[in-house]
Amino acid sequence: MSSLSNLSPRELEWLSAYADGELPPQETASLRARLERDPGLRLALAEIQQTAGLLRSLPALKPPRAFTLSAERAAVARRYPRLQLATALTGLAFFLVVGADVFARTGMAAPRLLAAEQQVAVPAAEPALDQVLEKEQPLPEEGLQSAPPEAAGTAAPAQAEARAAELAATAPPVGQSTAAEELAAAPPQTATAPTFADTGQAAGETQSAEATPEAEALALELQSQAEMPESASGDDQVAAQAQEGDRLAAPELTQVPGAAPSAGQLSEAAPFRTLNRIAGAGLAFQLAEIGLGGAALVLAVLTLRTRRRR
Amino acid sequence: MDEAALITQAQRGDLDSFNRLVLDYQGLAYNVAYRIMGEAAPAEDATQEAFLSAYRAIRRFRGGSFRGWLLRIVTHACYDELRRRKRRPSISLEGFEADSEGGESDSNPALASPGDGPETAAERSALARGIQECLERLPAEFRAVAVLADVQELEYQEVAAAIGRPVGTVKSRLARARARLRDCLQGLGELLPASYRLEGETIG
Repeated sequence: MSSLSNLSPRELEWLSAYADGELPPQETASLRARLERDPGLRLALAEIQQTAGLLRSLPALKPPRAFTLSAERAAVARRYPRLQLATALTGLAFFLVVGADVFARTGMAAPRLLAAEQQVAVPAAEPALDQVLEKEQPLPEEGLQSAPPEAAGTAAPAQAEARAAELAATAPPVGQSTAAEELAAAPPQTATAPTFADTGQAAGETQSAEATPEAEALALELQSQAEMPESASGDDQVAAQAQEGDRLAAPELTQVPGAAPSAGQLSEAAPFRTLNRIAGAGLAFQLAEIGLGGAALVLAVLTLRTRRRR
Repeated sequence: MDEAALITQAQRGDLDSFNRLVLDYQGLAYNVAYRIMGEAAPAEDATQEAFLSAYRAIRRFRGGSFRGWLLRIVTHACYDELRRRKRRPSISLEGFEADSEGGESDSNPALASPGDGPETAAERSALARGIQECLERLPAEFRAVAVLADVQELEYQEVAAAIGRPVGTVKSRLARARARLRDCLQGLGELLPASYRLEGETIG
């Protein structure tokens, strides 16, 4: 084996640097003194010098071609990092939107579950009620914002109840309108209910003349609904009517975006805005996902092609 | 035009000035890349990649040794290329085939040095290949230091700039690289110059 293996790393480093004349003067002096005494060290130095000499003897190779850049290649070289950055940013944006979308969907699942538990606790007046409630479940998110947490599941019905009351107020008095008034008078389920009911009624009184035909039709429908469940009692009835009202009112109100907003529409706006916002957000997410995903794909292809051309 | 002026012009976006720098340094860059990569094709790729990177980065060059700055880009390009080839080993086959064109083959006129000594060109070529193989057995960061300091005979300071490490690191890496190379080179036997062989034999 080589005598170099017998050296300590420090000795090896000194000898190597000494061979290149890169050892500091003080260390050079002490190493020289040791070299005079130690033939093994002299041999090691010779080996280092020979090794370096062999490496130096390697012939210089002629480059196979000129590495100068063409104008086109230089332009591509400048463009490439920008493309790379754009691709990375678009890809990142895409994944952020997908993440936000997923978060929004799963985030809404929590109140939905809470509401579902509360539904189980309430005895169903009729089988159809469950279906209606299920259909309305996206609403609890809004309910969570405006109502105490424990009332999350009932917030939506409460708002609908207020609307029912005030729709009844704006409608021409028919025999069964008392049912709707009862709804408004019923013990509030949430903290927000009285506010809605009060303002709804007040507005209804002053603006009943302005009620649109649609609102009137809606009120009529609501009243006919109110007639129905006589066997059902108390809260169940309220919930059923309110939910049914929600379901029925939704398409009609959204069909007349141009109509002057009646008091009823204004106070109803909150739950519907939620519905619309959820639907709108879902659509916006989808559009953003498709747009960003497509853009990222196109940019990635461009980047790869540019990379190949480089 | 001197180098500093060419650099200034290139920094202002003048491609011709940059290309004149390329012509000045492509020999060094390609040789460093070849000695680190060990094959012609990847060395060519790494060299081209390095000059492209240098073109993009030249605005950020803030004086000092342009050679050291450029060699740092070259060594980085080599490391990248080595990593790429590790991931896709099939490419190295192409490299072997292309090797006969730009590498140390007997027919390569680039190897014919003017003062032909007693050894034939074939022997010199075999020795060169043997040394190259020993270089390739070193870990990449040791190999780069050995190539820059011994093959290209750069000062420690410039090697330090080229690998982006302090001079102390250059010293220790070079010493260890030489010790390992010495062990490997002894295995070349008959290929070694007589003086080297004799010395090796006495040491046993």
